[in-house]
Amino acid sequence: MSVALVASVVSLVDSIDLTVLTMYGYQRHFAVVTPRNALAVPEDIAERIRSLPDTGSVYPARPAFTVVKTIFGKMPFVVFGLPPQGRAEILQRCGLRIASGRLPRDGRPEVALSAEIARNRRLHLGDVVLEPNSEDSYSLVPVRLVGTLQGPVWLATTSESFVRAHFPVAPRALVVTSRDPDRQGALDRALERAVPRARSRVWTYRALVRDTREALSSLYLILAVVIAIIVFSIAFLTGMLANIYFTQRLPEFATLAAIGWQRRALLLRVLGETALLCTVGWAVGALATVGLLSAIKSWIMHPRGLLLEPLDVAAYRFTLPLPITITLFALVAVWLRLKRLDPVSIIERRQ
Amino acid sequence: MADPSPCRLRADRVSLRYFDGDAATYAVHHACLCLRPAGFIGVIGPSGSGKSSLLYLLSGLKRATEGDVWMDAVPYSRMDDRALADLRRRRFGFVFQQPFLLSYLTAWENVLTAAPHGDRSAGRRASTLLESLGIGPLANRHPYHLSGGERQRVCVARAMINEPEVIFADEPTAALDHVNGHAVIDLLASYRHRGTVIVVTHDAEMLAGADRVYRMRDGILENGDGPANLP
Repeated sequence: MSVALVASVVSLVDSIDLTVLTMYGYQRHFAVVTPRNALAVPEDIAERIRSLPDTGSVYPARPAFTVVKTIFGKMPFVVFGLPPQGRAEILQRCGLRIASGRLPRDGRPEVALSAEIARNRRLHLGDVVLEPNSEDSYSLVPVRLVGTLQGPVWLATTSESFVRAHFPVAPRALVVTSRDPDRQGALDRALERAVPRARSRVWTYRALVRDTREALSSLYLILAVVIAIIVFSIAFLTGMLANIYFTQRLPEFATLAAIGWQRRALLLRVLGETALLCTVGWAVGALATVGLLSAIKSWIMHPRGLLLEPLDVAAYRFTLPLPITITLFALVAVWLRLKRLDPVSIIERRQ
Repeated sequence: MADPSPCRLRADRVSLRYFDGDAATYAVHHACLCLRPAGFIGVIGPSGSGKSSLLYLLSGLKRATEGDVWMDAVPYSRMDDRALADLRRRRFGFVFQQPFLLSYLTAWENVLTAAPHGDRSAGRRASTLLESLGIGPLANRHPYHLSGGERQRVCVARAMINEPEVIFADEPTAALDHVNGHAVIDLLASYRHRGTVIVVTHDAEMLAGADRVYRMRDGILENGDGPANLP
């Protein structure tokens, strides 16, 4: 139960990290440069980007915004307005293919979304994704879903010409891919060095990971404290239970001590039993947690497009102090008992 | 004429004193004993006479408050708790009034708890012992599936598994009926040629076949081997 409790809490908290990195995971495959205090990335900066050795393609991109529901609320999600050639390259680079429908036509109020986003928003082909009356998915004209995408990353895209025509204040950003897909990280670092921060901002996967981890660091600290309290409380209670359990077994220990067992051997016997019990308990708890989280994922999270990893190794690592602390607590409790154990006092109780 | 065989276990003016507030009470007072390497020895006395306390002193389960006990000329006062435990494990065997068997182990496994090394030869010895005590077919049963007499026989087998030099039996028949009581005493007595068997009881009938019977009353060993007689 305690393993399930700790692992479930950590898995749910980890799903924040997982959600952010999955939702915005497209940044592994391309960087985005957005202007600051301007409606377009200045041409000299664009030129500097094109001249970087790892730069492959640079496409203009204009963003519209929608939202994705997460377990911690709605998160903004960029609908990339891309020119046809750029969109083709980005889809190919991200390993995305059309799962249903088609790609948006140039200049038309149409959008294609990853199937996960469509499921998350409960949208079907033909449904309106952006609309004039929406606060978080605004567009001057209704924009309909015409295609869903399947692949390892989430993406939303429309045509650059449509955004340019209907979102007059949407800035003109740049989507930058590396010459060699394996060199995207190197290009990201080069972009961060080359682009002056006062005039433009570079959005990379590296920065996303860094910013996410920084944002969640306080949460993880709180989580660590909460888990430490849970572990201590459970270990204390279990230690007390072990004490009661071993009190009931005192005649057994007294007999063994009387016939010549060393206290150390008795303690090792208890250690072995407790460690085995805790290990089996941990394994059963971990398996039960995987089952529980898999069920939650299948029945609750996945249908809503929410992310949860039932095999989150970090979550199970958080549970490791449980069997260790419980064993130590039980051992100390029994050691104190055995230290004062007088076999004769037990044997003489001639019940 | 003095017996030429040396004492295996010797108690010299050994006492066990308790304090009840400021008043000292002797459970055993200045007892002197010399137990030779073989024989069936009885200690008899009424309830509360200190006979069990004497057995605890002789077996090293309790430390003497005065005097000392020697096993083959090594005094217990020179042994630490580990050494005493080792002595009990390797050279002594015990049968208590209550069987105190481990309920989650079979009879055979219970016998093996007293073996320092639970190896194959110990396992074979345990099987042979259970056979010889007439409970071989019950070796794989748990204590809760055994009668009182059968449990006490398992305890006798446990006491004998190491072929100890001394077996201490504290009221081994008290929880048994007459027939089972005699059967257990006979089993213990049969060990008299291989080692010393000390049986503490309040039932004189059980000690009818003893080589020697010591009497205790109010902590005094009435017919002990006086200090002058100790070799």
